[in-house]
Amino acid sequence: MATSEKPKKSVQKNGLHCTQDPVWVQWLLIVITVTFMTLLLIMPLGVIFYEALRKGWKTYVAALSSRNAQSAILLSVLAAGIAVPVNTLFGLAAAWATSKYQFRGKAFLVSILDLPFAISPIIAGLMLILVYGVQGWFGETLRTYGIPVIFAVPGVVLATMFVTVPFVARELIPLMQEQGSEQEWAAVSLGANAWQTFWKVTLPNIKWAVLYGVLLCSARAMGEYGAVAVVSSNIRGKTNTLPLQIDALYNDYNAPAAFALASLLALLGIVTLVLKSWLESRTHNTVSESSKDS
Amino acid sequence: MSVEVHHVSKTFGSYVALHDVSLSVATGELVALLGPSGSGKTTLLRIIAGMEVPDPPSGLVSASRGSAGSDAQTRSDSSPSDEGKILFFGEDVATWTVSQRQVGFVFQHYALFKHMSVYENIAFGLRVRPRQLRPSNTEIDQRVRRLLQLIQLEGLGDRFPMQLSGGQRQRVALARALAIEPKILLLDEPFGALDAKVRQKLREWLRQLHETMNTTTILVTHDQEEALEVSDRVVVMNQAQIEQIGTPEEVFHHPASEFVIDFLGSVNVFSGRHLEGDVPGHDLHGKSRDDSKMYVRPHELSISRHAEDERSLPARIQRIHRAGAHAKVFLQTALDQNVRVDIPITQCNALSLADGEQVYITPLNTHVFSNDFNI
Repeated sequence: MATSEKPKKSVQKNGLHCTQDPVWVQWLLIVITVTFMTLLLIMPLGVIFYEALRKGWKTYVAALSSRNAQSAILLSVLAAGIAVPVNTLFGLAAAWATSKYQFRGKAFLVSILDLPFAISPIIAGLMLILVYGVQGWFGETLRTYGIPVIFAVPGVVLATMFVTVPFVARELIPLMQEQGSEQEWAAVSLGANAWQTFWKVTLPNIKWAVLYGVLLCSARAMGEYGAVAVVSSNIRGKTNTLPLQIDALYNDYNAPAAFALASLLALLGIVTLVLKSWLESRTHNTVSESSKDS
Repeated sequence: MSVEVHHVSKTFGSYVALHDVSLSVATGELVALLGPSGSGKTTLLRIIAGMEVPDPPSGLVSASRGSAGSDAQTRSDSSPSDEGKILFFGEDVATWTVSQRQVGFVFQHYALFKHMSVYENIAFGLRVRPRQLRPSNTEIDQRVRRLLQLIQLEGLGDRFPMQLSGGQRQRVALARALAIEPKILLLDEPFGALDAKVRQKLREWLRQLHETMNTTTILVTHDQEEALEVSDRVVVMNQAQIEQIGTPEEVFHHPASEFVIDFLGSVNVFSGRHLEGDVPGHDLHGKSRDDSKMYVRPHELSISRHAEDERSLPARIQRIHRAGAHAKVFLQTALDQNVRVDIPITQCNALSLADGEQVYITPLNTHVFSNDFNI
């Protein structure tokens, strides 16, 4: 137990020790990094808020409270509100199945989970059209029952779910595999049933990782553009999500309104980032605790 | 009988973890399953606990494979229909879940709930009981406090597992298992992750605990010293089978196979050629084939300056370790065979042995096993 901590520390020390590059190299690298980040990240982010507020607070508030903007915000929240819980449940189930059970095709399942990361969101949108669209596999059936999917709100929700499927599962699988199932066995041997074991033993061990996954999942769900753009009919006030509405406003040369909405998304991103680094410290603690424990 | 295992086999894919193993453990007994890693001892323990399911009966009664010394294994006079059965106090527990079996199980790596205090860890088994069986809070409190006292960790109830040493954690794990008052206690290498000193202490403590708690205990270990010291009976396992079952004295002094003598402490091996050529007339009459081997433990050899009898063998001293109650003398025979002899340090000093000296070694006791015919 104690030995597993020591090597980590010595590696860190060595890491610091190895930076014996000349001073000018150190400075050059720092300057490159800072310039790059300023030009690519910080300045554009600043511009969003600058542009949003350039015409004053009144325009800003008016842009946010317009009917179409409100509807776009609501739809984004709705899509995220469905996609995130569903994907969280799925992530828990997938992580449980792949870390506690042995079955054929497990490795394949875990690797295919990354599909939404690997393929372009546009492709994801097109795939949904091929399956659920009018000419698609289920198109006929869906139309006879009068359930519109593509170019309607369900399509937006589906697309959001598709691109955010991996987040929670990806966080949980490595953690749960590392933790193994000894604690669960211990709980069961003490007489706990499956429900008690999950709530009292499994969940407390993975709660920070779940939150971390939920956070990333929500951020992505709110900000998704590509897949949603394909399956949405871009009807303002009906099937436009926040990113689609921003795009529409910008194409109308309504920059103040576009940037006002964009600032919302940017703010969400910053909050996500702060929460993420806080959660990261928590999840890393639990991981190192569990590795120390074994 | 508390626990009976009848002809249990377990395979994982093509890997045979247990092959036709039978064992009975009497009530109140402390039995050690001893063997190297991969011998199947942990699998057997997990099958008893219900965490693994034994292979279904194959239909054919496998002819009991008579490897040397497996007579102890086939002692149980069970009928073929018993194959693959586990009994607790005479009842077949095949369909019982882990929870229903109510065994106390202690894991090698403790498996404590790290988000719960020591107190809550110990109380867990009582708190998860259905309402009508759950003791009142004051009862739980009393029982946890009694257990904390038992494991000598009073006052540490609100600590978290992370804040405890390895030995303390393992004691908490034991207390947690004992809280549900199990009739059967199963320990999977409980002291394997601890250092030697703590291990020795906990071993003695476990033995006392076993006597006070009046449980039937099965302990898995790969440490022969631990098995011999703590248990009433030792089950020596090797390659998915039981090699020998017996009291610590029996397995140590009357090992049933080459594996057992080799696994339980150091041993010198003399080949058949050596026996015929250089040790004439020892009690190997007729059995001494070329492939037979003679096993002699280091303390079963004596050292003298002159040949004591016709069995004495000349050897040259290579090295002497004097740290300890016994001196370890390393010698080499004329046939370049390395031999270790343990003699009391006083005797070593009295003989004033020195490196490079020519002496005679005489076996006081020997073990001979005819080689496995199935090789």
